[in-house]
Amino acid sequence: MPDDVREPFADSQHQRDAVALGMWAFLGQEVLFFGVLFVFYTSLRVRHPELFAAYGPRLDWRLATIMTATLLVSSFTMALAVRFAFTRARRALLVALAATMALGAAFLAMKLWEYAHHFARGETPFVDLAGNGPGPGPHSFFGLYFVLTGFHALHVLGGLVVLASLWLVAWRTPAARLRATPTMAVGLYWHFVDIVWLFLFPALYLAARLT
Amino acid sequence: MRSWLTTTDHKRIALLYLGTMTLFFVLGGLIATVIRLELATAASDLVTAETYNRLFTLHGVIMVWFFLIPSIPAFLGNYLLPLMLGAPDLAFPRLNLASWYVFVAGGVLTLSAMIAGGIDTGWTFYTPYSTTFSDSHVVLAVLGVFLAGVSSVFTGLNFIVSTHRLRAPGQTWMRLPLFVWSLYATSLILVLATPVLAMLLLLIAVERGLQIGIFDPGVGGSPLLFQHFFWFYSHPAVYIMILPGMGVVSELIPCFSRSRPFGYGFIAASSLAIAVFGFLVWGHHMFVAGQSYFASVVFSFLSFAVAVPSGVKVFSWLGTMRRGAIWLTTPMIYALGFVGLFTIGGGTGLALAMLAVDVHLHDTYFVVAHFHTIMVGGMLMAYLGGLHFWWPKISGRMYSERWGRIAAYLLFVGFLLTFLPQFVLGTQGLPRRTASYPEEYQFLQSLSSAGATILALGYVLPGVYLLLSLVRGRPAGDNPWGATGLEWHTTSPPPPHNFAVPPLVLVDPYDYPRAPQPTAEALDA
Repeated sequence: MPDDVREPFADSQHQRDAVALGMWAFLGQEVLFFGVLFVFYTSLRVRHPELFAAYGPRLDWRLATIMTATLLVSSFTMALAVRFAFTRARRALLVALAATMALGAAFLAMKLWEYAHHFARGETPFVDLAGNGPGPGPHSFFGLYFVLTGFHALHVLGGLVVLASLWLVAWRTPAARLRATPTMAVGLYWHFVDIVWLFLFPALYLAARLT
Repeated sequence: MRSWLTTTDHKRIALLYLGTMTLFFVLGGLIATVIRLELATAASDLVTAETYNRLFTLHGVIMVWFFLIPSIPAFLGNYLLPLMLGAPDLAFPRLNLASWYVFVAGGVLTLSAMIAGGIDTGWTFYTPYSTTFSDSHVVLAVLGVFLAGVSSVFTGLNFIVSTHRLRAPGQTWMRLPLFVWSLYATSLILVLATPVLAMLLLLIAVERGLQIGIFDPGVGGSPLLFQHFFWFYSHPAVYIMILPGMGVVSELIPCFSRSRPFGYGFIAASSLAIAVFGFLVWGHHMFVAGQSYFASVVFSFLSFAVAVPSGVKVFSWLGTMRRGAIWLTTPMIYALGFVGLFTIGGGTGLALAMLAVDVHLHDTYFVVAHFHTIMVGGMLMAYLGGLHFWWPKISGRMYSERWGRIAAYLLFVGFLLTFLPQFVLGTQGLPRRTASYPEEYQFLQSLSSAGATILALGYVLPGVYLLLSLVRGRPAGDNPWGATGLEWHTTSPPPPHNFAVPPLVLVDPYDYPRAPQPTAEALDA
């Protein structure tokens, strides 16, 4: 038995099929996980469109466009990494993984800068919920914004951690013994996180400009 | 000890789950005992109303998420799925062990909420009470339940991939045991419904912990939206609890009727149909919550539709028995109890799915009796039936058949005595979740409490004689019941990798006319 196949699989192709199916099932549950947030978005927008018209323009769509481009390019470098993992091109794999991490980190840095910017302008989600509440207002819109983008940013952060561990393993492993399966699975996850952002970007940053 | 805590053997992980869940079941049962003692009299004299709220909340949280949801899948499913597929283990053994650790961590968090002072929101965590007004330990509890949900997703993922990828040569889809079909349908719900609960619980923690108004009407949020999300998970969760039970019963009835299942394909397909329909009926929990009238009509209709595949199963079981020779052992008594009580539970569910009737019965003891009939009368009966059926395989020993039968009958009688009065109380209008009640309900409430003592005895007995069988029971042999199915072709208990020789499957799973005869140990027990 080759050393990269574990119990209970017969061979590496069998194992790769199973891991791919497992990752797709995991992404299926991620769709439902984020689905809650998009239903939350729809509910607030249908009941309070005025919040989106009033506070949507306060989001920086130019910065968000750059962030979108950053993530899209990171998906490209991730796809390259998967390709290099299968061809066991170790040096190219290390470069592609590092590029993906750098772009993901750049996205998070821009996100943090944006958060700091909103906090500095007093656009915070926090509100004293005791009593009857102050009514719908900027805190409602920014509550939605921070919750949606926050859960997405946590997923990017998780992706960076996993990418870093892939990079370390590839760094320590000779090319002949490189395993492509983990890189393939992480690649699926990384593309999914990008796709979530591709929905968040127009829903939050562009919607107010279209209506 | 160390080898158990680091094991990746699905059989050992299943037993770790058994131990943990049994502890939670005992705790949830003790809380139920205090609740029934309090309700034996009309006044709130044993505990205060405040304490009573915390008791029924903890009873619900522990029993739903730390016993019923994992009971059959994480214990019997974990133990049996690879055996039934003819595989050496689940697809991801380390993920399987991780699921147990996450489950334990969730349990510890929930217990710490209990020790810190408890929670008083009810197991449903309705907002804005849970987020704004309750002064109990909601955040700890929801994070504990969140972790239990993560563990559910891990288990479901593992089962789906294993069923697709690890079937032995010749083990085609239409040769899978019906228990595997029900576990597969359950896993689909575990993976596709649990994330909704997971996100919802995190949102409660965010709203309460960080003061970000998400469901708070005071800042434009919608409490109704919370209920939609909650029941989008929690109604399918009912099927997470009952589908594996149906799977167990679909194994017991052919074996103890010595007959092929009547309508194998229908039983298998109805499991999937229940899983799919189960996602479309959540609104029947919200008929009086302010959702639109049109939505209520549609949800009512769909709730009736989900009864069709359930009915198909009941008739298949009856048909199997009709053409078989019934052998009334302990597991079979549980299976018969399941069929009868599930039918009562399902039928009263239809009563609640009727719009006009539900206005009267909503939030009364009728609802309490209905879901306990499904959960305890259905699921717990199936769980105990499965536990007794596979106990000789798991432990290698036979338990006392005489005590087994006594306990099974006690449970059945105790159950009816506890919950039938509650149906009547509900139709008379007694609301649920109150520590005290008007004098005129005294008789039926006392009857229910009296029944609960019989029920409790029925739970204690198996704990005693099953443990005794480990030291005193006679060796069971490989196949005491003369059952078909791959798990009976290996030793009892099975070796670490399940089969000495990887199996090759050539026949369908219920070849009963040609099945081996039951052994003397099982027959004269």
